[in-house]
Amino acid sequence: MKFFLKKFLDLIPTLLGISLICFFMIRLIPGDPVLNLVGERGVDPTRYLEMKKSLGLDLPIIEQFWHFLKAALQGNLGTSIVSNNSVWAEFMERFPATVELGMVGLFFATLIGIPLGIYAAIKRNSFFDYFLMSTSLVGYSMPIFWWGLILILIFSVKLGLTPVSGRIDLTFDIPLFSGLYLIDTLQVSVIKAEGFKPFWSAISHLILPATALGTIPLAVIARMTRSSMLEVLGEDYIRTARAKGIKKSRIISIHALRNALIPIVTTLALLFGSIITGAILTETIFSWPGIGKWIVQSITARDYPVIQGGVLIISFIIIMTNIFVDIIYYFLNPKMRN
Amino acid sequence: MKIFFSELYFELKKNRGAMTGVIIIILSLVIAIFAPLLAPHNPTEIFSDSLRLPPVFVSGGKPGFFFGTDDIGRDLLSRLIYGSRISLSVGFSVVVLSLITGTFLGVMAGFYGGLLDRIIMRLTDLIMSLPSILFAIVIVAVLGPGITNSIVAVSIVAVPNFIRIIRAQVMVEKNRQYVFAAKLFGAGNFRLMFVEILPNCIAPLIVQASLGFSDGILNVAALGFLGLGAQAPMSEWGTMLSDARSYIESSPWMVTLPGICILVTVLSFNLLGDGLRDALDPRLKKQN
Repeated sequence: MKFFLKKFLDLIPTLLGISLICFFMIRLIPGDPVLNLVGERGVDPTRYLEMKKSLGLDLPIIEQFWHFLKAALQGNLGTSIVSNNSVWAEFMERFPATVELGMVGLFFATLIGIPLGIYAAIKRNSFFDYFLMSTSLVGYSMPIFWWGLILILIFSVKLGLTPVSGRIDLTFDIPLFSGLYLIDTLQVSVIKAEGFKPFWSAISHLILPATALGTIPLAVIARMTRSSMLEVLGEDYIRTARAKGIKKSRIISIHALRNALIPIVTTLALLFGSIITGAILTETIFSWPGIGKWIVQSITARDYPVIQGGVLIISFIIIMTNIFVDIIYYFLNPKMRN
Repeated sequence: MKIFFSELYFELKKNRGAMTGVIIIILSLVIAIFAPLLAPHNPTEIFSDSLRLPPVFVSGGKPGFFFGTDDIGRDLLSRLIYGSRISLSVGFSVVVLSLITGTFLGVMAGFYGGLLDRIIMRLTDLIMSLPSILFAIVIVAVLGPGITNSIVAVSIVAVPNFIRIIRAQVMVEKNRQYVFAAKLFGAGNFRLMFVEILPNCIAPLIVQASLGFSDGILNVAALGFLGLGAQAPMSEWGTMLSDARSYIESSPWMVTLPGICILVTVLSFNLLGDGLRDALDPRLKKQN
């Protein structure tokens, strides 16, 4: 209990800090915040004062921050200058797309990365091991904004196998239920009307961006699995198991892997932040309508409320995920409980 | 100190990956320094009769434009060569800025402890809780796009790594006998921190500096790609990629080449960093 309490108390300064950053961000931009908000075109003086008052910019700064916090806690993050929609609504509209992309990307990375890492650890110092480790370093160094373009070049432009952008063919009209197209296209009503075509369309749209996004995590997971496995395979209890005559496959899958998984799970959690970073770049390349593309567009459009609110929500989600992982970890690893 | 570096070199020489990295780094340094001699054309010179020429070894290429030209007729090879100048100086600036700030703050936090330590560590937690590119985007949104601002942004993001490493190291070192001896000789806090303790914390800093180089180059290129980094005529690799995006179908070489340059440069610093870590980590040494 004390553990959880401490975790949550630790949260407060970080969250306050992030709100402070987001709050001051809009005020630190050179120039007048009101003019920044309404654009460079002149505003007549009465309208200017009105705007200033409605934005609360005539209050003392501490009071402004207090109002900002209060509004943010109530889910009121302001309205986009470009679309005039509330920032929260815009976020909610795009968030499922990013979740879908991120989950599939991470799934792809885990599904391939862990077996590769295990195999490299078993065949230590073999050609395969060297090959995998060099390739994974290349993957780790990959500028994914370029990698995405190369994937498009090969699979969409040259081979014509996959579409270049978007989440699904626009000819399909899918009633949204979860916001995740891989699930929504499997609704009974959709299958009755269109068969599995929408589902395949969603998959073919997803496959390239998820591969691009998953590449760096794949490299990290493969390397991490290998070194973690190597460490465990050198332990005494593995030697004991071997001496008892247990089959090698059983030693690896039961005795070694289970213990090797703990650092791998941590790595997975740490990758969450890099997935968001990756999403910003991947979504821009593949015109994936998620929060990454949203943030980048809002910067080009100087849509400050969106940047402010978006960053606040994203960092909040990341911090909460980290806490969540800590808690899961606490249950997984009895050593931590003392 | 001399012994430290010669031993480090001895260890590194045995590591093939690290040596490959060193060779590529030296090569790109040479290319960057002698860019005006190596580049066949001025990187901003426009040849309006040669738009989007393919490389010379593909049909349709023109001799004199080895890697072809871009959408407004600038020689791609020359732009890539000059680009190495920008990327290497970007990496260097990011490492220097974040290394100096991070070392200073980290030594202070580790040495004094207490409230100062808590404030500094809270700040690092704060920066680390945001994804690096997102944080850099926020800073660039405030400061405005441009190469200098993106260097500043990427450096700020890199500072916490240095703080953490150096702080942990200082906390161990400050209780050693030699520090106590220096104190008895009347050394002031400043001397203790930066003359006595710091040189003994240098090993992990070297590794982080090498990895920081690759992170710096990659992040500034990413900002350039998003249109927030280097601006128009500058031949920065990330910016070149972003300009080339619309020609991916008709002129794929414009997309391929700058990316390979980024990849190779980043890879070489990662190879070196990995090798340095293996060479400097005593725990790993014993295992081999």
